[in-house]
Amino acid sequence: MPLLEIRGLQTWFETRAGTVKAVNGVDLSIERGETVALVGESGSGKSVTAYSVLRLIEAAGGRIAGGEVLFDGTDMLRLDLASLRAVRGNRIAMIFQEPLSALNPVQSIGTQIVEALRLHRDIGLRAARERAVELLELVRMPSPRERLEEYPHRLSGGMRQRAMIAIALACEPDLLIADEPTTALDVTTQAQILDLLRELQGRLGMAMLLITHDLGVVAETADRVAVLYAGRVVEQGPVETLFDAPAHPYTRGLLDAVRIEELPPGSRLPEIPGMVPSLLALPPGCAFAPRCPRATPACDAGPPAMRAGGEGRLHACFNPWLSTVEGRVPA
Amino acid sequence: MSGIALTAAPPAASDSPGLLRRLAGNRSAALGGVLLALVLGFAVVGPLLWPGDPWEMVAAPMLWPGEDMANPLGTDVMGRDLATGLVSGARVSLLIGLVATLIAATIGTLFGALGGFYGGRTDAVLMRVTELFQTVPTFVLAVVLVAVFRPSVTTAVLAIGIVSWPATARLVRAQFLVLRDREFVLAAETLGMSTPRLILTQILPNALPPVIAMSTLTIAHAIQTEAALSFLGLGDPNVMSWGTIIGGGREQLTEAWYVCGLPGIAIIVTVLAFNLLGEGLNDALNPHLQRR
Repeated sequence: MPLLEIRGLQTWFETRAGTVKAVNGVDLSIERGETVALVGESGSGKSVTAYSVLRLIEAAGGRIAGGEVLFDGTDMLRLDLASLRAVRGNRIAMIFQEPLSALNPVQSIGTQIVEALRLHRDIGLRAARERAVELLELVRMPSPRERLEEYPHRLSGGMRQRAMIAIALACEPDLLIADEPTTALDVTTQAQILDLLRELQGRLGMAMLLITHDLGVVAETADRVAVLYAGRVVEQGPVETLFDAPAHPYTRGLLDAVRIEELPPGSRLPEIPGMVPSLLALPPGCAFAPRCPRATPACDAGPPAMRAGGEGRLHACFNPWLSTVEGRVPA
Repeated sequence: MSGIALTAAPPAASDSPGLLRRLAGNRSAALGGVLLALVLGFAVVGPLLWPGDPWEMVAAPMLWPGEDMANPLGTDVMGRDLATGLVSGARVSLLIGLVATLIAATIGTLFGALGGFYGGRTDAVLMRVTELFQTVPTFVLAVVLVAVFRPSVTTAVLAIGIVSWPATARLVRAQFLVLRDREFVLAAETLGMSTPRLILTQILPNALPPVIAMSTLTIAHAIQTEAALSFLGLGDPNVMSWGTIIGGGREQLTEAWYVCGLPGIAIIVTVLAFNLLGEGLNDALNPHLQRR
């Protein structure tokens, strides 16, 4: 049984203009200890999927219209509030893109770690503070004991992100959701934080759902990757084989767009023509069909089902690139 | 600021001085602090210099200040010592101002926090109640409240507290509306924090600085209201407050203006002290103004 299994998740936002189907039938599973990357452009539904797992979507004005989120066998969508809170921060924790805004500005780092610990553990104040020092050591915070008293605005970006990871790891969660954890950091710090996350994950045996739009981060960090387009997973599989031979034309377009160093100098940069369709009025068939170079009339008839492509690969496409034999045309 | 400040400033107040030093650097706050220290000193040391009952007739009536050094600030129409009266008034004013403001801040924070956090129907009901209080002239409401119950320090404190909370409620609600959607509140929710805890440990501490600044202004207003109530004879009949002295001296205003003038100056100085302090606090606690 996978640790997390999302089946047919639909998360909708009611707006004056109509129903925005931000997540429209996402299927995804994560095994224990595994890192799955969720990639896609802005508005593809990556973050909404993650927030739906912890049921933080009502606060944002949305609602989960359908599907199941099975965490360790229990459907998160059917839990009462008390049981849900017992899972949040305890078995599933989350880290955010911008640590400065995700940390409470008027509480010291130490207080925030202690608070996170004492929410789920029956632990005294003194013991909790000792544990907080250990956690800051674990995330390689320089001089951890002194940092307990420090307020978020006095730390550097990298140290803030370390502090936030320490808070998230306080109760040794089984699953860590990382919502673009390195986007706000400079490249050097980004590499350090990714190394740290990988190392901690191995040490604590925790699974990770990594949300990102950076394919480089995916290649370095993830075991498997799921590509999201207009609220659906269009392709998923192990990172190496999927990056080597993408089956879905959208994935292929994304990968081409970042492989610019392979281009002859002076040539046009590859791009995916057209725009992401409005989530208010999705096309009846494949949402990518209007932009797809391989689209046929069949693509507009109905949405393609997820099909197995071997080696743990899945894709939702009527006309996939099926093997490397067909070759990659660099632009 | 010197020219060195042209290099990229750190994103937050990482090297800004502490609150007290910032307050001292603020001219209006510093002046307010000095004035308040004078009033407080007067209230604390006064009873030692001029002990006795402020109601007791100790000398000839209407002695001018400085006429007899036994009564340095003179006496009123009944021959009561004005210095003793002013000391008593200072203690009453400060006490009533502080306690009434505490009541107003508590009610206001409760209404504003619940309305701002829950929104929707809760907010609508709480804000209609707040508006109800805002539409009634506060002083008239205070007069009615004190008149219905027996005038005493307790009823004055309660009445002033009850008429003063709506502004705090509005301010706290606005703070909560903004803070509720901040990411650190969401982050705390992902940790499994319950709603009351979320409100108390995450949102409230971030919402308080402007409330503290405004409460200083509320104290000033409460002191004025108390003086006005006492002036109208609606104060505690057993307690000599600044308003009582002014009310008693108003018929001799032409012959002995100092009877009204001295407590009047005391009120002005005290209210000014709290106003300046409140303004200074507002600037000092506002992170966006810290670099000015």
